[in-house]
Amino acid sequence: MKIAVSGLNNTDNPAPGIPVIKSLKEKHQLFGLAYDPNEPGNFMDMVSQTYLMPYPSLGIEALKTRLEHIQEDEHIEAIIPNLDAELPLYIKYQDEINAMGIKLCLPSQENFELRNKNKLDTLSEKLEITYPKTYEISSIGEFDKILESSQFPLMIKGNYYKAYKALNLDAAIEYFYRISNEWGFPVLVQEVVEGEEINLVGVADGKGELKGAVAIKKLTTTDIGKIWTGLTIQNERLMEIAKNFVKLTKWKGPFELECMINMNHIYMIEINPRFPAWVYFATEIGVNLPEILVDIMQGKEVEAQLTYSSNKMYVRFVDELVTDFTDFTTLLGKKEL
Amino acid sequence: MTQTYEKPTINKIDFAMASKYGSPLKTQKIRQSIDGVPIAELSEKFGSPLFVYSQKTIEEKYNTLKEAFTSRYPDVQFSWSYKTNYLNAICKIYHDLGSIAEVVSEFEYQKARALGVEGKDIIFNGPYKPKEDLKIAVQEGAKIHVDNLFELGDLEAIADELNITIPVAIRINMNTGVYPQWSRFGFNYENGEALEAVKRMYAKGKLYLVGIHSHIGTFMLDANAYRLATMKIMQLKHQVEETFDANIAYIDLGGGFASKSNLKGVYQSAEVIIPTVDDYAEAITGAIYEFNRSDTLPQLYLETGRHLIDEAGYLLTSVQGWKRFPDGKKGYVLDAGVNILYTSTWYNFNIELDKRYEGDNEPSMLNGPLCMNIDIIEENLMLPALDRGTILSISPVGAYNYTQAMQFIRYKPAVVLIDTEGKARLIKEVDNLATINYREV
Amino acid sequence: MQQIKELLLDENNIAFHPMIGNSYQLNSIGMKILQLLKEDNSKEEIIDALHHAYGTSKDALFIDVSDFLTKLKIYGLTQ
Repeated sequence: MKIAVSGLNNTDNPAPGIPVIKSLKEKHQLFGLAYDPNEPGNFMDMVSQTYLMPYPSLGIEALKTRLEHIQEDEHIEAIIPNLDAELPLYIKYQDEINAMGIKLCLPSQENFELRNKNKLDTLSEKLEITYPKTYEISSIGEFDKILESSQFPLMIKGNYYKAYKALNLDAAIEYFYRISNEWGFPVLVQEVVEGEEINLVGVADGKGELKGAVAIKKLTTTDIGKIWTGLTIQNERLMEIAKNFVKLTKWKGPFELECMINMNHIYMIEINPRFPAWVYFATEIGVNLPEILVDIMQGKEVEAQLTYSSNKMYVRFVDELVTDFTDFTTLLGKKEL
Repeated sequence: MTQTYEKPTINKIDFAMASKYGSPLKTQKIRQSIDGVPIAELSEKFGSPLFVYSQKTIEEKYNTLKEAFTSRYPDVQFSWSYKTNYLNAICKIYHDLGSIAEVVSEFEYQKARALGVEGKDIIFNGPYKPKEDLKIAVQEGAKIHVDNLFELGDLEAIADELNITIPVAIRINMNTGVYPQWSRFGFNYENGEALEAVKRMYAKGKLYLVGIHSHIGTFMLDANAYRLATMKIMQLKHQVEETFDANIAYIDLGGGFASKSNLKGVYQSAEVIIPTVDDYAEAITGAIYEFNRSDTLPQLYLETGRHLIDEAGYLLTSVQGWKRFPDGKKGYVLDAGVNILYTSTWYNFNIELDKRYEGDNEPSMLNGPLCMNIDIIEENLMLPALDRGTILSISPVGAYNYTQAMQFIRYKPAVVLIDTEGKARLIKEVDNLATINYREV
Repeated sequence: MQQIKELLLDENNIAFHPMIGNSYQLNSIGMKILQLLKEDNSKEEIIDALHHAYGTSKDALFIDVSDFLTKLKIYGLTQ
């Protein structure tokens, strides 16, 4: 299959694109969709061709025009979008993109909204897990009201990206501006829950069945909070939550559950409608989730893969490469490489 | 001379990820006509800058909204929000389509009357209604939506003067989970102020309640807020009907439906984040059915303004020159400024070029013609090198821009309406010295 | 003009400054002007050359070429 993959950043703030490409490269012909010529994945020699894409904020017409252009020289059969900022556009307009002969495996608009950080409380209730108290704010004046019933530390989060732990009001205000300047409103303020963070990555078929999942615990993270080392875990409760979530919503496509566990109490932190950047961990231990996703897209019968070995450790490291500067300037000048 | 000339450009490559100017992929939005009428022809014939409205878009938006509500609910009445756009020709289109008038001042009231709208077809809203004008509205049978206790007192005095009892509606405000909460208008629901006002009304017996109105905000991105608003209105309706043996004939959900305008500070494009009219209609009508406890359904009024007109309006403006700023950015001087684009404070407009321009895009700024440092229509955008005389189409600007445009430094521009047959017609001439000097004494 | 002479021009219309590592993206006319500058042409000579090549009026070219040279100055490529 000819599959295009976005999210080719692979710096200390890695995107899921390269891990997805590594999982699929043996069986499929892959293409890169980049938003910036600086994305390292543009130069890693793992795709047949890389195309610069219009920013998601330019809307569906700009995306369609670009995809039509790509389809003229290369008939791409599927796209796996991996970035939070582009998912609202791909999800809302999945029918129009399908109509161009491009397959997607994404949740419905309704399901996508269900996991919005500001609506997760309702979903968590249905899944019988706790959601930390969360406020949606659009001005710093609103901190006053929040502080009547909540105390620092508080998490300050963007609706799409970024999360910071604020220990006091000064820090909270700084994070508020940092997030809103970059990602707009609303900004979310969430009570901090104590416990261990655990994560699960899964793929569902849109009919209510979880087709693959792996749970991990992040052992160490980098300065900006990205996984550095991790470990597979077997947590029946978390797996049950994932199954119930998929059954309840008839979720389609990839997702990542971020939870906090505190003795026997589980808190929902967030649900991302995409693969995490550590998805290749699952591939390496035999649960190739991107491949399962491609099988679902092709309408193949897929056997659920929910077991994997314990005691597997993930280590992320930095690599380097050297390329000709003309590769960069070609991408910048011709918008493809 | 086989090669075509394009303006020379050089841009230093920005190696920072996510340049603030936008996508490194060159994109251009092009508009050469509005409803089949070439913009070059409009600009040539009617001058520049020029507001242009599409009657076709107005009617399409209206019919789509009407369909969304009437297919779900038997008794819906739209009411044209004058403040959104009170050009006579525009109001007339809405009245011809079946809208009554919603006004918020004696001036707007007079405008509606002058257009031939009967008093009974006017909703009189707003936080300040002068008593003498309120009296005229009462006498002409207008639907008065009471905003505060002072106005309530004025109405009771008018009832005495005319020796009648007056049917009124009240405006209420409430928490619908939306920030900021619009609590400046009407009586608060949660703290019981609204019910207290009705009690007071019935204690004196000079006014009786026939309607309940709320307007929860503007550019509402969450249709569910309307469900909550409707629920609270229906609960108050039931309380009032039970307690005072009243008959609340109508409820009014106001306006606030979003248009496809890109709100500043919001990353995603408007088409991704704004709810559909079906979402709004389902939220409102669904809640009426769910919370109705009376034998009959109330009539539903809507005062939708922005959603109906915004996308029907364009401003055509021409490049008059450009300069290079010391930071390397290119600044274009346009003949239209922020004084006639009031909504530029909150929205990033869609800016379309009159043709495809070759060459690279470069970081640019769009400035108006005012001799004022604040006259910036767009601060950072990537544009190809434009010629003097390039016509830019700025949209959507159908809502509020003309009514809030102020005459400042230059004359207020002319307005053209393109009718459903694709004919452009001048509906307001450009100001001149006489119109501006007219009331000076 | 020393800095301009240092620039390496490539087929993607990128000018690269090998001593500093900065790169500049140009269009074909911009490339042509850089070439003419490298060959020690004056502003007037550049305007004449473009006028002959494209037939564009000298008044219009004066504005465009002046702007281009201003930008070179902003980038520190000329004094």
